[in-house]
Amino acid sequence: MHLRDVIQPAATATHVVGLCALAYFASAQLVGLSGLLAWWAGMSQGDAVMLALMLGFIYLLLLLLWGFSRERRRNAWLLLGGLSLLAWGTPLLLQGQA
Amino acid sequence: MGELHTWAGVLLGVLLFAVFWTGSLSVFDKEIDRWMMPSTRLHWDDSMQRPSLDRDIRPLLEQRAANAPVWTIILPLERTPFLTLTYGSEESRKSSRDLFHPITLEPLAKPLTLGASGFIYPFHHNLTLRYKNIGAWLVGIAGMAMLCLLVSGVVIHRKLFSEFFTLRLHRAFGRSTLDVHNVAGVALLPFHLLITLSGLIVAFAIYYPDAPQHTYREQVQSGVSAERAFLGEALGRIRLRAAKQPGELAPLEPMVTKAEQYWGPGSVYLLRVNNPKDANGNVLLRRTSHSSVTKDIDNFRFANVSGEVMGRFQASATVNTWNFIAGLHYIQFRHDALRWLYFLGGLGGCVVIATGLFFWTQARRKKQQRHGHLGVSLLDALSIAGVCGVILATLAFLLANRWLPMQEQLFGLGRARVEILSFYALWLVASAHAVWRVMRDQRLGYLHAWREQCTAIALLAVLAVLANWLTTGDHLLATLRSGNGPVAGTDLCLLAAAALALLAAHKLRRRVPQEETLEVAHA
Amino acid sequence: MPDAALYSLLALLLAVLGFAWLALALPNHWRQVHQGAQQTASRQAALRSGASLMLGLSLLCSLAGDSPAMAILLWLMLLGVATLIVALTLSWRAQWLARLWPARPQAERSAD
Repeated sequence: MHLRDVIQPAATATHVVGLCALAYFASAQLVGLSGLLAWWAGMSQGDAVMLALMLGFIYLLLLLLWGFSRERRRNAWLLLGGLSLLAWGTPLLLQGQA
Repeated sequence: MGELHTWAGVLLGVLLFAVFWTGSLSVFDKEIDRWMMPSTRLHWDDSMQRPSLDRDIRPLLEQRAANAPVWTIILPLERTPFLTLTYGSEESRKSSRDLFHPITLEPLAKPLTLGASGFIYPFHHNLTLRYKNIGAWLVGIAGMAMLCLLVSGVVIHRKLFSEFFTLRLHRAFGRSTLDVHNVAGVALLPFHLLITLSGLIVAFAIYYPDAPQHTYREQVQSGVSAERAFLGEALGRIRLRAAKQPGELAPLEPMVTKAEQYWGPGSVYLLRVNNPKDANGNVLLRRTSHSSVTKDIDNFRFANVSGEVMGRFQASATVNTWNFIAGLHYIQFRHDALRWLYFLGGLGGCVVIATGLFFWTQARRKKQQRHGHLGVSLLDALSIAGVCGVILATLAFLLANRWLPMQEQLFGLGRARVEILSFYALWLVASAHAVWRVMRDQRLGYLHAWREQCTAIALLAVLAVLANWLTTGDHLLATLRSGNGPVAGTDLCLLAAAALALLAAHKLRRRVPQEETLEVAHA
Repeated sequence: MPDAALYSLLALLLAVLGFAWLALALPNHWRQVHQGAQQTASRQAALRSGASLMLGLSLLCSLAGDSPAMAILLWLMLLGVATLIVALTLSWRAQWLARLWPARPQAERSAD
């Protein structure tokens, strides 16, 4: 029983759970952003949020499938992390200006 | 590495099975309720005259809950053929409910059970683990995993579509298990996709609670909760404050008549009187949506004292898209054929998951044969506990419902609580039995466990049918003759389940000598 | 409503026929049903077109008996049932499907 036999599964488990959490976080930020954009595009507040909510699960599905099909694990983390940051920051920026 | 993958798959599979099993039963939850609550085995159809709100129902409310902050009146419907009166607060979870005969308005004997709609259905969407929505999150994770499996499965197994129709049932058990999994999985693919996605979308409030934050920034800045504002605007859920001044409640029938001018006669089924004795109280009316998939959330709001229309909420097209998706999942509209197909489709999903679990652990067994059996055995035990265990638990729930004496308190607990404890108790016993069996015989113990639990399922299912007969007198022939669909249907399904379980047990008995031969050949 | 039930039943039968033809289009099932006869590309195309037609008609039947949303939902479920029926027939009584698209008697058996 090598140390490798413990670290490798632990690393994989962390990657899987972590990436899932990151994908969820990214999708939640995208939902917030989508709602704001839909409202600015002319929809009522309620409709905008409802539309964004329905899309949220599609976002999550696509992000999960995409994230776990990357050749290198690092790329998945970087890209999903970057997307999260963008989706989280954009509403704050936009509302700061408006 | 592979072990981790295997364990994750089995844990997820067991969770999914429980969700699909309770979900399938929930399609007929109101029918199972009739079985579990004999005092409600009544008849109601649209042609019957519903009780008068002011003459008949109002006095009952005044009698029982004159000072309650909320009165809820649910008029009799086909699948719930009785009058329901609930009194309590929208805030606190404590509210009491009384059922009445739909014509004579006699109080019905207290059911003293949560029934399928009160336990099995909530178990389906939140595992009855309400603390911090942990149960709902687990179900959501399982659902999302299912979606990923479905979509990636189709992509990965594109070539499988050439084996679309191949069901090699006469071949070795392992091969035929996989074939059943594949064919059932493909046949039910559109259904499973719809159900899984719609199930997640329905519960958006749990999974994306902060969605309204950015869009409702103005409201947040003026001190209103974004969520409250969103629910009010999109779903018509408004809470109006009491004036703390006394007010006399106007007659309710004219309110219903007014609403039905727009909605159609006989369409109102629910009235909620908020703050009945308050000057600022209001009455909310909701309508049925039997003939559309879209769940109808429109409402009329009337002022208590004047009886005038305060407001009318109509869901927008976007919100009705959500209501359509929700309606797809809930299947509360009238369509017997679809309801049965949903039920069978859900059970088909259980078969897909169970065969998947079986094949998954079988494949792992072949790989880990040389490295010791403990891990494999425990995986088997987990699968058995997950599949047979939850079925046995459900049967225990039904049996307890029939056999427990009709007293409010039993062993110091509410009767309904004892029924639920029976559910978990038998699940625990089944799990222990599975573990004991696989530990005792690490090579073939799992087969014995599967077989014995299948036999137990058959036995308990038949006992349940007998229990219904002995405790209510509504045996199968009587209910078939009198056209009592819900009770007859439940009994018939129990008998069908018993037959299938016996068939499975029989096939598993023949498998043991096959397995022993294979073991010898490999050794 | 007896009408709706009849339409649903007809929709199911058309779907079963459609999927049976789809199954027969696959070489391994054609061989299985027609005892060793070979599949040809043109017949495969014919079977597939026929199947699409049957499935389309099945959908129309559903729509005739119900409101659109329920009809489409019902049709999707019936497709699942039809798939299972065809798969089970292939497993137990594959010969029954032979009549649904007979093979030409002598010409194909030469290859095997």
